[in-house]
Amino acid sequence: MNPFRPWFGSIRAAALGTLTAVLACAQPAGPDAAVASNEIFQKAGRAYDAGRYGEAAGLYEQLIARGQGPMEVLFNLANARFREGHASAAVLGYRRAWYLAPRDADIRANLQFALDQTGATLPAVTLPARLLQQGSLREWSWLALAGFWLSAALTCGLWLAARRRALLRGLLICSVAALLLGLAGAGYWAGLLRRPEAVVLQPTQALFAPLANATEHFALLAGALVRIEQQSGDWLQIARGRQTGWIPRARCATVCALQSRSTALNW
Amino acid sequence: MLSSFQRWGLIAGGAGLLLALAPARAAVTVEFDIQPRVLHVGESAQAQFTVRGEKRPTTPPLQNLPGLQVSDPAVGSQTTIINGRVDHFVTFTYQLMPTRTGRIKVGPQRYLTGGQSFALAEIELQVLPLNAATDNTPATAGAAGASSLADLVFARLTAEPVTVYQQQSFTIQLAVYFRDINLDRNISLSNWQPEGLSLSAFQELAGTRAVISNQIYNVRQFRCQARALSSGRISLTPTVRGGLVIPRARRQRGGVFSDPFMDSFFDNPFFAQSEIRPIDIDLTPLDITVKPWPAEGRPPNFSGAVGRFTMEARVQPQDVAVGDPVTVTVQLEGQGNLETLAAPVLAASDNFKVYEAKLTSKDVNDTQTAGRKVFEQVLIPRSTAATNLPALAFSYFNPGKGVYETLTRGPFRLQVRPSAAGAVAILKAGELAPTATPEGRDIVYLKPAPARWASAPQGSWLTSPGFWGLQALPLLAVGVTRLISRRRAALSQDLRRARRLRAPRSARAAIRQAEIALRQGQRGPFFEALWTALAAYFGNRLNLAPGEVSFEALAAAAQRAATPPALLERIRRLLAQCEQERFGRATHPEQGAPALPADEGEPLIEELQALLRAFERIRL
Repeated sequence: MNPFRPWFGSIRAAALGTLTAVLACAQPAGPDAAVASNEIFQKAGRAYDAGRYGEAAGLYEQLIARGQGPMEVLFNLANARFREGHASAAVLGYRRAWYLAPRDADIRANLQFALDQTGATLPAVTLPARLLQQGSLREWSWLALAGFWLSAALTCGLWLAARRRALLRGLLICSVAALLLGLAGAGYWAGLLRRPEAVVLQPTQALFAPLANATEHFALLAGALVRIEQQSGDWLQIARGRQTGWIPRARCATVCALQSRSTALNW
Repeated sequence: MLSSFQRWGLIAGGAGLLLALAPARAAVTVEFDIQPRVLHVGESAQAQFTVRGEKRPTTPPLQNLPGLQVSDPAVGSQTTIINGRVDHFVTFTYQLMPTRTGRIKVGPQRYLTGGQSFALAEIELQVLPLNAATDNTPATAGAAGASSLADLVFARLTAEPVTVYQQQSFTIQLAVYFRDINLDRNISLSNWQPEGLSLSAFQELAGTRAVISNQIYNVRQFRCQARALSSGRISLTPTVRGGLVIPRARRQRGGVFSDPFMDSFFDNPFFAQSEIRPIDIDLTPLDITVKPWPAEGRPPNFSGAVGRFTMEARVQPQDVAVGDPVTVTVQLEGQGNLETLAAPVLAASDNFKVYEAKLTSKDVNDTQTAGRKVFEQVLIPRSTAATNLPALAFSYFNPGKGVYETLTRGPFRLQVRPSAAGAVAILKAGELAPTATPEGRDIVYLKPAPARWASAPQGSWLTSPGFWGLQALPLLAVGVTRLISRRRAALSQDLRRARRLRAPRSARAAIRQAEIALRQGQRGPFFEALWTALAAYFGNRLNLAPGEVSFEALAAAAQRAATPPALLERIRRLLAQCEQERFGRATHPEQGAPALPADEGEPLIEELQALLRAFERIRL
C-alpha cells in the first residue's frame, strides 16, 4: 500500500454496505402482497360483522398461512373462534396475540373473559416475571440490541474522547443497564418458547404415565394453560403449577414454540 | 435512697411474684437411665435419676448391686423458665464399675420421694471380658493381626419395610459400625442416585453401641425418607466413604531440648497431629421390592394418593343467589405422598359451573411425608334448582392394609335464590352465542388492520445467521478502538516513534501543496513546498528539530543505517536543487521567477515520492 495515498475509502464502503444490510433486514412486504393481505383482512372483518364467524376465522387463518401473523390477525381470529363457541380455541388465539403485544389491554381483557367462560385460570407468575411480561420478545430484543450497539459505541467514544468523559461514562452505564434488561426480558420469553405453553382444547385427565390405561392424576379444564415438559410419541408431559402429568398430544395445542431445527417461530 | 426495710420488701415482692407466676405444683416425674449399657470390665457406666417437680427429692438408693461397684451420687439441679413455664429438676448421678462379666440387671426398683412411689424399670448391662477390648490405636490392632479393616468398620443399609407399594413412603437407615479405630466425623455416600426412588436428605440419629460377635461397636446411625416412584426391584449399592484418623509419628524425644513440660504440652490432643485417610466402608447391598397398586378394588376416582389420610370439607356460603360463587374448601391431612396429592374436585354439571381447584395452603414436613393440604374450588349455581351439591370423594391406597380406601364428605345442601339482578344466564362453554352474551360483559371488538404487513414470518430475521454476523461489528469496532487507544497512549510516551509514524503524513500534505503550485505554474512556491516536504519527512523520520534538517544530518543518520550511496546521492541532488531554486532566486531577484512548466515539475514530484518511498523502507 502506498503510504502517501488516502486509505479510508475502503472503510467508508464497508460502513455503507453494513447500513444497506441493516435496512434490507427491515424491509416491509411488497405493495402487492400488502394490498392482498389487507383485502383478506377487511373481508374477514365483514364476514365477522355479518355473523359468519367460521368464514371470518378461515380468512384470518389464510392470512396466517401466508406468513402474515401480526397481533391483529391473531386477536381477530380468536374473536371469531370465541363467537363460534370454541372458547378454548379463543384462549389459544388470545394467548398467541398476547405473546406479540403483552401490554395490549384488549387482548388481556378478552383472554380473561374467555378463561372465565371455560373456568380455567391464568398461570401464577412471580413479580419479576410480571415485569418482564410488560414487553414482548421483539421489544426486549430491540432494547438489548440497541443497548449492545450503544454500549459498543460509547465504549469506543470513552477510549478515544479526551473531553466529556463523565457524560460518556454515565451514558455507558445506562446503555449497559438497557442491554442487561433487554437480555433478561428476551431470556424470559425465550424460556417460554423453549418450554412452551399449550392450551388444553377439551377437558381431559392428566395421567401418571403416557399410557391410555394409566392412573388419572389431575383434571384439566378446556382452555387451561399448561407448560410442555417433554414428549413421548403421541403423548405430552405437561406441568400445571407443581403438578406434572401426561396427556394425549391431540388434546392440546402449542401456543408458540421454537422449532427444533429452524429458528423461525412456530405458530 | 431506699431504706434496708424497703429493699428487702422489694426483693420479697419480686420473689413472691415469681412464685405466683410459677405453677402451683407440677406433677412429679422420675426418669432412670444407664449409659452405656454395653461395656468392658474396667469401663464405667453412668446411672442417672432425673426427678422433676420436686424441689428436695430423697436420694435414690442404688447400693448392693451384685457385680457392680457403685460410687456416691453426684447431685445437681437446674431450673429453666421458658415462656413462663418453670421446669425444675434434680439429677443424681452414680458411677457404676462392673466387677464381673456377663449380664447384670439393675432393678426393677421402687423409688419413694415426696410421699409418692415410682416404679423404675429394669435395665440390663452387658459386660464383656477385658480381652475382648483392644486399645484405641489402629496400629496396635493391626499388629495383633486379629482384625481386618472390614471387621473394624462396616456399614449396614436397612429399609423399613423392604417391600413397599408404588408411591409409598418408607424409611432407609444407614448404620456405620466401628471399633478400635478413630473414624472421622465426615461420612459420605457416593453412587447414591437410585432410579425410581425419591429420597430426602439423611439425618443423623443419636449414636449408640452394639455387640456383634462378642465385640463392642460404636454405631453412627443415619436415616432418610424414601418414596418409590415406580414398581419393580430396586437395588441400592452405594459406596460409603469415611475417613480413618491416624496419628502421625511422634517427635524423637531426648537431646538437649528435651523438656518434660514441653513434651507433655505438645502431646496434648489439642496439638496432636493426625491425618485422615479415606476408606471405603464395606456395605452389603440392599434390595427393595416395589409392588404396583393392585388392580382389584381400585376406585375410579383414585389419583395415586398412597398413605393414610383424613378429609374435611365445607361449603360456604350455603345461602346464595344464582350466579353467586360458592367456595368448597377441602382439607386433606395425613401421612403419605402429599407432594403429588391432587384435590378431589366436583365436575361441571347443568346445575353448576365449576372452576379449577386451587391449592390455598400447604403444611408439609421436611421429608414431604406428612402434613396437610387445603384446596378451594369455586362453583357457581346456574339456577335455583342447584340445591344439591354432590358428595366429594377422595380415594387413596392404604399400604399398611394393602387396600383402597375412600373418604366421602357430603352431599351438601344449598339454598339458591333467584339473582337480584334478574335472570343472569351462565352458559356452558359449548353454548356460547353472540345473542346470549350478557350486556356489558362481552369480548372487545375486532382490531383494525395492522399499519404494516411484514414480508417475513415473525422473528425470522432476528434469528438469521446474517443478523448475528452483523452483531460482530460492534465487538470488532471495540477491539479496533482499543488497539488505537493503546497505540495512542504508547505514542504519547514515545515521541521518536510518534514522529517516525507521522513522517509520511507530514510529507503528504506538502506534496499536495507542491502539486497545486505546479498546476498554477508557480516556481517559487513549488520548490518551497518540495523543501517543506523533504524537511518535514526527514525531520520527523530522524527526530530532528525543524532547523536541524540538512543533508549532513541526514547523511550521518543514513550512514548508520547502511543506506545505499545512490539513494543518498539522489536525495542530495534534490535538496541541492531545492536550495538553489529557493536561495538562488532570492539572491538574484532581478532575474525574476520564470514559470514552472509541468514537464519540469512532475518528474521532480515523482522523484520526491520515489525517494521517500525508498527511504521509508530503510530501517534506521
